Amino acid sequence: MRILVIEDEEALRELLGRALKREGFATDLAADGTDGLHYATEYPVDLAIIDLGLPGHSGMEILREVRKRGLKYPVLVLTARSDWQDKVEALELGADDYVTKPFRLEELMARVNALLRRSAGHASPEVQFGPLHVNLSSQDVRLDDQLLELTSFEYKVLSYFALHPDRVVSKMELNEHLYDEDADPDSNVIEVIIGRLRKKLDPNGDWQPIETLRGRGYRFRAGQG
Amino acid sequence: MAVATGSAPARAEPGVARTTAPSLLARLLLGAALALGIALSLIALAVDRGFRGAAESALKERLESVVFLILSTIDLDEQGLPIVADSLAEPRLDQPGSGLHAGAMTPHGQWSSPSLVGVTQPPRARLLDRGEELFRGPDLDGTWYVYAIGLGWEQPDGDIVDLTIWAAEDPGRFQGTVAGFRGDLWRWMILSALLVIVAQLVILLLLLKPLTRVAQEVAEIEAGRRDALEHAYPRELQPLTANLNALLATERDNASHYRRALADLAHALKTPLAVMRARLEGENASGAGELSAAVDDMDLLLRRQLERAARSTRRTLNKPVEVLPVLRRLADSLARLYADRGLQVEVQGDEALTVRVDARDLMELCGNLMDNAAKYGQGKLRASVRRGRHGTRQYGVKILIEDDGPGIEPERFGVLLARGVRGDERREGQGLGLAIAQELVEAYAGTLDLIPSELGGTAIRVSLPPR
Repeated sequence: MRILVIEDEEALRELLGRALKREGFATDLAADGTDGLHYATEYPVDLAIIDLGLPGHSGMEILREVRKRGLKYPVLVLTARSDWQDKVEALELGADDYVTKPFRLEELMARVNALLRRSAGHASPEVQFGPLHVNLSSQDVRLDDQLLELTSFEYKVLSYFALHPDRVVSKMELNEHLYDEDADPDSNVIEVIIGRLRKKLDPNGDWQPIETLRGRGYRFRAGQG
Repeated sequence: MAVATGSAPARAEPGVARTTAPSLLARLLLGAALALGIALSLIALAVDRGFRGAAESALKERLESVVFLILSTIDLDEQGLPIVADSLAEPRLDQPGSGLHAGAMTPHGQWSSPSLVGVTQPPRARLLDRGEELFRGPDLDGTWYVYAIGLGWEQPDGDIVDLTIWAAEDPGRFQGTVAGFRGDLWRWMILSALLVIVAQLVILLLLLKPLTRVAQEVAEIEAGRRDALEHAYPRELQPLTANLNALLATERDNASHYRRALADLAHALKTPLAVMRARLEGENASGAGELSAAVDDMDLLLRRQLERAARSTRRTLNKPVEVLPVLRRLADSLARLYADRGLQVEVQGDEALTVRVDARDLMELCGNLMDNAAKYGQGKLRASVRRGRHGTRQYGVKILIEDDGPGIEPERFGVLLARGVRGDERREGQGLGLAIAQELVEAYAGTLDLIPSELGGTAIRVSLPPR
């Protein structure tokens, strides 16, 4: 999943970036409102963390523009003020949650995961697809109650599928949402990862959860199994 | 059991302090009417005296001319008795009961005009010294104006006989004239006074009109229907209205500058705190825990002080704010925030109810209470607003925030709200939101108390006075 962080304080921005990467997210970091608005409207974003007090465009302006353009990804607002007036205004403009500074990283990550889950329509962090159970919070993946060992990237791909089930996902989309902006992914890597995931999720080949659609991409078949 | 807090009893009930001093119009009218009354009375008195004096002079002259008329026709016989022609040039002297009489007397006898026939109390006359002249008003028992002169009449034999000629008039005629004049005078005076008072009223109303308009515009500013005094006022009032407008603008600007400065300060202080906390979370070094706790303390302290500072931006004239839309906005926001828990928020109440509280303060007050209710409830929250009561009459507004949680024991609520426990010493989740709400309610002379909710949990009732 690709997360955009718009925060003008460099130390905090970098810290957030590192923490999100540790959690397995691809990140884009913007240092001011102008860059932030560009990223928020032109890049593939799964969730944005926007500080309200920004130079250039304010967090509220970015939020308004994002929603005006019909972009529906969840937005978590970072605010220094804890006034309800500010919170309500941000929520009315289309923010999905807010975190007041100074926050605990742990709490922020929990909110990020909850928002991603909610935006995919899951009420609980535990998502089930046939014999497969994915906990989007603890990142545990179980197949028939057996814990699966997945690499970081395998989990990234699986969680993206889990949050976008029954939808055609192109290789390009996977690249965009799973790699950082500056990464230069080899398109074969995705194929290799998908192959490894298929083996781990369906060792006997009777479930086939990941469907290949020639020339279009992949589809995670949630209802099967 | 309800545990209440608040400082309402310590404050005078708004509206009571307003004494009913007489209006400017009443004062001016009363003052002008008094001055007018005194002035007109003095004028009337002077005119009355003047007229009476003039009328008396005229009377004296009339009597004098009668005396000279007698003098021109009189003669004395050898015995010294006065002889007057039978027919005089003044017909009233021949007409009995005409009220005008004349007479002449010498030491030897007297003559009186035929008009005295039938008069029971004729004017009393005495012999005057030669050259003596007398004019007197109605005497003590008598009823006559009398003019008389004393002279010496030389007889053909060379004797000089003392002769007094008098003329008298019934004062009824004179008094009738004076009374008639007086009646006219007072009628005209009262009519003039009434006209002057009406004119004064019109002038005063015209003069006071700008002041009435100022009061009306200030009331409209208070009601939030306008931002400044906009009418074209007379030159004399312009310094007042211009200064009032400047004051209002300054207050408005100061409030918004102050809020912006606070937002900047919060951002400037809290972002480094966020960095410190985030860094400390990754540290396992000894002391990281203590530093982390220190960051928490600094954060809490900062929050409290910023909230207090924000409240000091309150304006003198708060526009009335409708409560229900604020509750609805908060309900929508909370439903969004607590979507995972399927929070159900119900908002009820009278659409038109307003409170004179800074809009941000109202949002802060209700936001903190509703957020607490959402946090500690089982998924149901009700926010309602209704008109308050003071005895039997309607008074202010009551806001009720209810949840379906386990409830707070009244004792604990009392401790949380007890005076002396500074908000700074409380930790998040231990009534920080409640403490903020409490301070806000007290700042507006309201009360906050706890009652059991129909939903099964706690209901926090906020009572706000009308002003």
